[in-house]
Amino acid sequence: MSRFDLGVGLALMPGLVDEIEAVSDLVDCLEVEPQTFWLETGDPDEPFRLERDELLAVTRRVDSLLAHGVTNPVGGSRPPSAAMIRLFAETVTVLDASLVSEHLSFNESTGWGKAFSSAFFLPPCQSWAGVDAAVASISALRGNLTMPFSVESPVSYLQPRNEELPDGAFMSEVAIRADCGILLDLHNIWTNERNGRQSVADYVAQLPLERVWEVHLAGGLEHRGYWLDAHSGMLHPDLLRVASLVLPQLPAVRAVVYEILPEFVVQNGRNVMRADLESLHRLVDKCGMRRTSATSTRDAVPPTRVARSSAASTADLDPSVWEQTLAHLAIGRTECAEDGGGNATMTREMNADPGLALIRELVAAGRSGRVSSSLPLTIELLISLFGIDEVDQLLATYAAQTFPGLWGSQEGRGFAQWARSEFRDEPLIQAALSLDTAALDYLQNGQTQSVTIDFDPIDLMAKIKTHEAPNTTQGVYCVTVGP
Amino acid sequence: MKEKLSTEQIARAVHPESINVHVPIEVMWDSDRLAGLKKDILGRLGCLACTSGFDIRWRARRDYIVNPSLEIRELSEFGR
Repeated sequence: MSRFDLGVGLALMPGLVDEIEAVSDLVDCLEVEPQTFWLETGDPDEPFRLERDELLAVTRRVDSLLAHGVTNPVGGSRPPSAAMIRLFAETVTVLDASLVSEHLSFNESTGWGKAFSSAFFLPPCQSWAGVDAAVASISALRGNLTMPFSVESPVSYLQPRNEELPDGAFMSEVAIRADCGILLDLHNIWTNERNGRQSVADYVAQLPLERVWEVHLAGGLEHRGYWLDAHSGMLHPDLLRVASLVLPQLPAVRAVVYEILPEFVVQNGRNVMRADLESLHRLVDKCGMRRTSATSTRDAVPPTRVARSSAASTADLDPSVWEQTLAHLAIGRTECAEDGGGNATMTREMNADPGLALIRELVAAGRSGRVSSSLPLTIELLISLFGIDEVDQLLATYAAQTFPGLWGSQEGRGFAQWARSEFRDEPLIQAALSLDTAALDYLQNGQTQSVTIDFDPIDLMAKIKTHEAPNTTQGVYCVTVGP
Repeated sequence: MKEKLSTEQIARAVHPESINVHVPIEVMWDSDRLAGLKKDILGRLGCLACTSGFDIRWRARRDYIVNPSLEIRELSEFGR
């Protein structure tokens, strides 16, 4: 293991597999996001299964693989479930990953007598109790993994609070106490700085730099006065300048990984991905040879840590209260459930933070994206019948009355259940829902599905495509959905 | 000996007049990119990679419908 031995990497998800060839000369390692290769099973004991063939096809692409979890964040007080931990371990073992990581965020809380997902990474409770909670969650997920394990610096759209540990100090304490590495997402902390939180320089100054084993860089975009961690491509020149200052300070960094979502590759073109990867190679070539004097100084003198006793006010922040309050508000509730344990003062303060509205918008956008992707016939039909604005409103109403599903299939089934009741007297919509959910069932369990609908399915599908659905041929049709 | 009927058999028994139609999943979900269907399914039903950013899938669809090629296309005219 040596500095930059894993080189420049690309964060890979199924939608990017076909894009690798075009940039293979610029990709030294691939960072696989394990859960993007999982599908729901419907079995409560083993709720997900690994699409092993798809994953193995990826492993043949390059010599070095990293694993980066995207659904089991370890910054909260609720550690991932045993089934998730098992499958995560299985996936990273199949990959034989050189580095393994997860996010120092949370995405689950409780209320109304059950656990629910925010379906979005939310910032952790940056108190001493929050440090303890994160350390316990890291220990649970890491389990018996033998690979180096790191936690990723989170993005937060909330304003900093006086009683919080500073962002860098919180990350530092967690990494030291958990004895793990740091995945320094420079775009995340630069986003935080742009949105009013700690500066990148101050953040980095608080880190045990020898624990930074991996760096992430990504493109973002401006939205409603905020900079978004959108993974939208086109690395910002200012971010590259920041990276050129930070990378030389990292004595043990092994990989710099570029993140872009497939949707943005399609939208912005492959040239963007290629240009960004070329920028990262230039950066690594330059910084790999140069280590600043600050590095050697920091090797010998670790950063000053915040004394636990000197920050007594942070003891007031209880991670479970923080998580319950923020998770409820993020999914669109105006207050915590009575049994949720949320704190009224914290609810009021978070409601006053303009970042909360952005978080809500992003959570809602994710839900709409998952519904529209997993119920394509139904959504297309609804657009035909009601127009796009009304479907927007329908999705908002659905979101206000239900809990998010982190997985496309979960959100699709949630919307289908809601829409069956909402449109109980609309046979055309019921037919589309039956066909879509039969498809979901088939894709989940591999068994051909049968449904009876009141319309000719071939005619219905053709007319949905051309937005002529209301005149579909009627009758009794027994439809099988399968390969 | 009792034999469990399949959903399809039950449907045929209840609706003997029913017309049987098989729809391949690729056709149903209009995957013009048939070769990429498996990966497409992971994208549709699985977990989206970035869960701290902006899921643009709905917004992109909306924008496309409103303005596919710098022309306003009123989908509501197809509706009620």
